[in-house]
Amino acid sequence: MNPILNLERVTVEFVRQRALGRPRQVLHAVNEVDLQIAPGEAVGLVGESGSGKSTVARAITGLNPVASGSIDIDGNSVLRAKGKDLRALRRRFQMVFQDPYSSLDPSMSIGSTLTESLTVHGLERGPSATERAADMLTAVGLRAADLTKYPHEFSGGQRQRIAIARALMTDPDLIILDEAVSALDVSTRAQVLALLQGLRRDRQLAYLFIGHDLAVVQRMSDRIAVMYLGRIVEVGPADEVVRNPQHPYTASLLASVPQVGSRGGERSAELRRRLHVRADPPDPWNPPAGCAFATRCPFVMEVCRTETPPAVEVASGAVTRCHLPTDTGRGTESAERWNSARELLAAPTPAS
Amino acid sequence: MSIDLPGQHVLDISHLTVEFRTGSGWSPAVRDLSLTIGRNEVFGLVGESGSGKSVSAMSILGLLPRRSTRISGGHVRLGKTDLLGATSKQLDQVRGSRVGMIFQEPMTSLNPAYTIGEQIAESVRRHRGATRRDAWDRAVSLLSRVGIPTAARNAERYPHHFSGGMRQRAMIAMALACEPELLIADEPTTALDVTVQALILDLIAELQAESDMSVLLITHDLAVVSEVADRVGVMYAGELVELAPTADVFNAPQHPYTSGLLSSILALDSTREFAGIPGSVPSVDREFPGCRFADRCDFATDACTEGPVALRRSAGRTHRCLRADELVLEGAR
Amino acid sequence: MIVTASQGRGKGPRPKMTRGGGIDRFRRQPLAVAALVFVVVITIVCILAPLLTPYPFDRGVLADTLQGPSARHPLGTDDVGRDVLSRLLYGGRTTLLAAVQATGFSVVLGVPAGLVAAFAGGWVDACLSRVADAIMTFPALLLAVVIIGITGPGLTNAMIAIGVVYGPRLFRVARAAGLAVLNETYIAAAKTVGCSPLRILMRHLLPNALSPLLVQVSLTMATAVLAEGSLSFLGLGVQPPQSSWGAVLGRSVPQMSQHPVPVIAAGVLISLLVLSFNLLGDGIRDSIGRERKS
Repeated sequence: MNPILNLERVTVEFVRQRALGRPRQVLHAVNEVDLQIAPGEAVGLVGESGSGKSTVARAITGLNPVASGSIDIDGNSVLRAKGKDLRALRRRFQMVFQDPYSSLDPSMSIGSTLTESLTVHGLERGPSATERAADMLTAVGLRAADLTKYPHEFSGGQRQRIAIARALMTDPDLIILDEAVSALDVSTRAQVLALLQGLRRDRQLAYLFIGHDLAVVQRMSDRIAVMYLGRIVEVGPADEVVRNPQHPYTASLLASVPQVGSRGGERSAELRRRLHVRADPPDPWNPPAGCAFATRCPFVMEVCRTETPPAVEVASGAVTRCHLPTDTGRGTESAERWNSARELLAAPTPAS
Repeated sequence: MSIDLPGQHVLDISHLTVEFRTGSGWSPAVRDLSLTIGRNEVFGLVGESGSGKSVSAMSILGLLPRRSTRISGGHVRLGKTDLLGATSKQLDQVRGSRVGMIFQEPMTSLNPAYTIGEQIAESVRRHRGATRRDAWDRAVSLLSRVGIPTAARNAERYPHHFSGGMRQRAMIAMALACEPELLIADEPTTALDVTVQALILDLIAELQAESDMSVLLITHDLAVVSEVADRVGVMYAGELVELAPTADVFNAPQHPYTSGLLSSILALDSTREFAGIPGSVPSVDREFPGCRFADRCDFATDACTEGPVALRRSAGRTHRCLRADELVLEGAR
Repeated sequence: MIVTASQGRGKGPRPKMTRGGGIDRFRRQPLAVAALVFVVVITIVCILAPLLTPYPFDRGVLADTLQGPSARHPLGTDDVGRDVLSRLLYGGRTTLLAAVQATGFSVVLGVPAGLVAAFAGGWVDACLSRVADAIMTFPALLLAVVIIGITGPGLTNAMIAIGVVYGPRLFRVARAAGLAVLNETYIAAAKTVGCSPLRILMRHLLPNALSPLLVQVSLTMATAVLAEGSLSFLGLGVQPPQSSWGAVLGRSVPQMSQHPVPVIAAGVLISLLVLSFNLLGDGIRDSIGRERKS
């Protein structure tokens, strides 16, 4: 099946102009990223802030210009399309943003916010548009009567439901959820996640689910891609990535997640000791040579500091960018330590 | 560990009520809050937005804007000092010397016009009367203690040169400059990435273990609390609804809200269905005849909505639920 | 320990910003409400001038020159026997109209340019901003005097000149407000929904940048009232027999020691109106709450 979204070697650059005492600098916020999403598939994108995961979303939606590479929606290039064609393509993917308090225009009623996409795409107008908006509002768990209200009359969770309804209005194939539940309180977050899951099932939607909470991303996604400093360092089936990480960065992310009831647990302390990253991320404007994670990696080898690791496919179907599973890494002391740490991570949590 | 003897508390809050100015007058943001923190104890105060957890912390040190807030009842004692009755000069003495503070967004708490080292040294000089030279040396050693590499050089840099994690570490160094009795950490890791969060939490735990400092950790993240706190207080809509040793709260919560929060957390690799709490947190100015959680509670009875529910204590645990004795609630899974 | 105000703001219950909320906040400021009432009352009274006074503003009774206050002429008469109260009532029309002209002109000039500069950025922004800076270097009154020198005395030309000079102020406010709004996620959301730049400008940017503009409009009105007063006082504004507050003031000054009432009345009116517009502007500013996130 053709992917609904196909990113090939997508690069997004941020440029810092030359200034007094500083040369012109280029930051590769997204660096040669390949990513495919099949129709109806949910792909999770995780990584720390500054990893470029949100920039990927903004590049797809055209909010950030792409320096090189290609972005295709169902075989049609988004980057080459113009005017009417581009608008027709845009309709097929929509986005939900992180902050429900600033993603809705405070001066517009919910009704106008929802019908706006229909109006600008010339799809429907007047009563039929309003009717569709009312349907969407009920689909996300609000009432049709809410159409005449304004954003300030709703709580954060309700606003996020409205933002989801807005994304659904043009009947898209793909919804990009950029940290869509991160700003919500835990008790509301679960409701919105359940809603998203239901919508995906009912409407055969594909999701690009961007988040930093690995537990949530795992649950919402079929596959997970892990980004670090602009590159995808690991991609694979969601459960596989969580249970059997192939990149030390993924493993350290997993070991860092605070777990309820894990206090004083020997396993968690041991995991942390072995897998914890050592320092803060490097300055993205001056990325290290070789593997970008080398400065923090507990299993770093000589080669990591000089050579960019290749993409390696492992048995489970995951692809990782790391020297450890390659011929260079195999059998070294680092690889031994890495393998035993991974076994510990993969072992089932003893019941507390 | 907590020492539950009167007079041994580092911080003693009792019946604290804080009110906010609203369109129609004053309405409480924190209602009747009572808690104590013992020497060398880590106390976790948990709640969602609008629970009043941060307001409580700000009111302790007189950091709330005076025009739009007022403290309408209760008292707060730091050791033997009455903080609510203190003059602003006395509070200045307390802040940064007996109580250290770190906040969610370290960038807004650091002055961008001064180097990190200058800001820490300034704090040392003001409260300790050290010489310039000694204060600077102490600043550098503090920075290196909190894990800033090449501290002597980094002390001469400005906040915007630092990453989020380094800034939070600098804030911790500043908070520790005068060896405070109490460290108030208000969402210290919320703005940080999970890897850096783990480092900061470990650092706080280490620093607390090697001195006899107490910590008031305020956060919305139950998992964070479960990793570092000795005791936990859970707040909902301005009220403390449950207070108990950490393991008890997580294994056998006594308030349905706590139980609901715990079941809302998704653990890695769990297959559980999403379970949230229906409805949303009421706004502060909403008045309820009885329990403020009743309209979202699965276990509410008519009695719950009849009159205000007071904090009850039994067997070392404190809660605000009429049915706590009969209910067996689900804990963390 | 450095504690900034933003920490205090970020905490606690989220302030609810609504248009209704803004009006509520405005209503809680007695001075601003009083200023608004004064402006509205003065405007209505001046509009209704022909109904409120039996005297014309441009013809006097020569027998009645320079009278003191009396039941027939509450504020007395001027040196050609015209009723001063009528002169002030009719003159208020001129003064207000002139202020509206000047302000309207600077709004038309400044606001669209400011929003476009914010929205387009780059060289468009740079060009427009430099032009605005250049215009701002002109002293407003001096430019007005020069224009009058070229075109001959007349209020409209003078007010256009003042409007041009005050345009950059509105430009700056519109540009700053526009930039702030552009940072909001709903602008990005509008783009991803597929809105055209023009639609984003008109439907999303303009309505949300309106409040700070209102503040500036009110402050500009105050300056324009003052400017009209100054020009007409000097005889460069309205020409006899037309009336305006500045003209009444200028005309009455020579007889001030014997007949102080007209001078005081005109002076107080001008001061009160200027003060009211300033207070109104401050009041609107204070009632604009920023809806803010964590």
